[in-house]
Amino acid sequence: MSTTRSLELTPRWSTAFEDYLTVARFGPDGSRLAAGSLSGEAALLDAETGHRSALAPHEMGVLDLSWSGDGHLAVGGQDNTVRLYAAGSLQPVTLELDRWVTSVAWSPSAPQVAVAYGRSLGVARVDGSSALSFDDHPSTVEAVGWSIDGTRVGAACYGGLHWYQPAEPEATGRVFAWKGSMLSLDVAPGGRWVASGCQDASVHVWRLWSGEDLQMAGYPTKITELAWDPTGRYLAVANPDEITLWDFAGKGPQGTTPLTLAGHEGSIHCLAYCPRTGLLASGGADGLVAVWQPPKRSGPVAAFDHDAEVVSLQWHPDGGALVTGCADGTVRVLDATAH
Amino acid sequence: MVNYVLREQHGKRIAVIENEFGEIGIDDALVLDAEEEIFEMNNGCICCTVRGDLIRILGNLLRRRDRFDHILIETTGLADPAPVAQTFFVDDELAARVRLDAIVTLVDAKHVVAHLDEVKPDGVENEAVEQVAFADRLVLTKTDLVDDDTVRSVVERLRSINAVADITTATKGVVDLDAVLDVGAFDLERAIDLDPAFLTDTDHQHDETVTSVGIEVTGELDGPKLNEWLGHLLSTKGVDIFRSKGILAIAGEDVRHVFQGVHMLFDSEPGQPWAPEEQRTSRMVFIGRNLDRHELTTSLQACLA
Repeated sequence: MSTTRSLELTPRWSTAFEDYLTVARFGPDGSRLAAGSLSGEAALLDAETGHRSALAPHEMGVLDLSWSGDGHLAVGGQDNTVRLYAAGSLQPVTLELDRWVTSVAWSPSAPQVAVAYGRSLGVARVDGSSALSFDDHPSTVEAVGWSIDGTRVGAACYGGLHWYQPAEPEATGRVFAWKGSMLSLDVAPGGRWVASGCQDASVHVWRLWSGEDLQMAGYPTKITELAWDPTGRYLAVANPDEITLWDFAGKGPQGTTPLTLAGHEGSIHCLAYCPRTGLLASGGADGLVAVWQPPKRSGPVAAFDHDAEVVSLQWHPDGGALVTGCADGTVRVLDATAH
Repeated sequence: MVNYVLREQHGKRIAVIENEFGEIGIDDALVLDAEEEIFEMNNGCICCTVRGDLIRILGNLLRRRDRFDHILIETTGLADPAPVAQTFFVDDELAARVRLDAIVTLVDAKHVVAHLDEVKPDGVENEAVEQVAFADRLVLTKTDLVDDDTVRSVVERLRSINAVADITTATKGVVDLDAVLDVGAFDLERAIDLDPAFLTDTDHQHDETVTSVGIEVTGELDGPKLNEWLGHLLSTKGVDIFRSKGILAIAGEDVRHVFQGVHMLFDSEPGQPWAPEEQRTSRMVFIGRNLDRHELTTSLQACLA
């Protein structure tokens, strides 16, 4: 790569878990991060030092975790449980469910968490109270997400996205339909769109809330990784070793040619935009973490090589660091310093 | 209730993915429950069904540090085997990381004929016939509960549907793991042994709509013509063709081409080289419904170079 680097990624610390690092996420103030592994380990790690405080394990593996804006933490596992840690507490409330917890997401506006388990979507408050469930989806719910005002929560499964209003559980839900297995759900910042990746190698985007839909098809393999930029204008799609960037400004991306970001030599497993700087980071099977500055630059502006597949990735809230998780269980924090 | 115990072989790491009525027990295996979630996928002119739950569960298993030697997927008694097999063709991540070894069907020697004879309403598949047709290996169980003549006639009946599957037996509910693991049925590098003996038409006692047709042509085939014919055949008649297998001589190639299909999906790879003096012949087997031997033979002959 001959691009002049304007950003440098250097390791701050690393620590190892005993198996595949499912997910690592900074808390809202950036002082700590939470990480979970398929080994079943879950822990809080100090962002500066990497010092570890163990959280309750989940037998057979941690499958997802999520922080709320207030610092509450939800951790879901293959042991059919989700543990809810109120901000500042290491003592969780445990909800025992009947299927693997595949996805957890906090409401942006209330201390309420959505939990996907089997063919159900559950909603509960951080103390475990006011629990509801929306059951009998056509297939296992693969992802959950909230509208930006927190009034609606959506479940991605076979057949489309199913939306509910937890404050009015009896109200009829809305379905954004697509006859395919939907694997992800990402609401754009600003709340105009929701995007979902599909097993049939397409991406579907619906306008919130008219339900008008667009699709991008013709990708070579299934789509699981999507990310909206912080302005809600661009949608980045990883497939499989390139990122395509669709511009939703004005009339939207119909008829446009997306920007392609190339540089990985293997499937991209994770994508993350920095809310503060708008830089895009990607991590993949080639062990590379790359940072991009689309649409200005089509090549990476920084890169760091790991010695294992990078499977989880997120920017520090202040934009000055990245946390990465690898298939071999390693968690790293990389400082991202501009020249 | 565990009805069949697979006798454990020391040292193998095995995962079993079972449905809620799991009938198979293996000591020291990791057992996971799955709810069969089948959906359709359309990709141009190819339409197939896949097991969505397997994509997720296997994806999870394959991420782990602990490698498994074998993964056994047990389907429910009435299941169509096609979605399980097709899942491995259709999901690229799985196709890259795990190899489908074989479809093994356990056959109850005492009751199977009644199941095969069952008359289903129009348009409803006889699942027993389907499961026999699909198998790479048939394991006869409960042979200790029937006499030898019955076993012989059961075998004959199974052969009239599926001419290529291996047939082995188990007694008293114990199945040798070797009978079930590492069969290599989809391993395109292992020569598929197509015995010319069954390639001739035989009289069937029963009016089977599901049969095996084996065909053979001498000489080399024209690659593009063959691809066009096979592609067209499988996309138009694929619903009725459960399995297809072949070892083919292609003009301009010094190696055999080995080919395997499940309904509309197929895969082919170079195989063993032809010896210099060896006569080049192509053999194909189709197992399916309403197969027209004459039409298949003449169509294959039309592909000769």
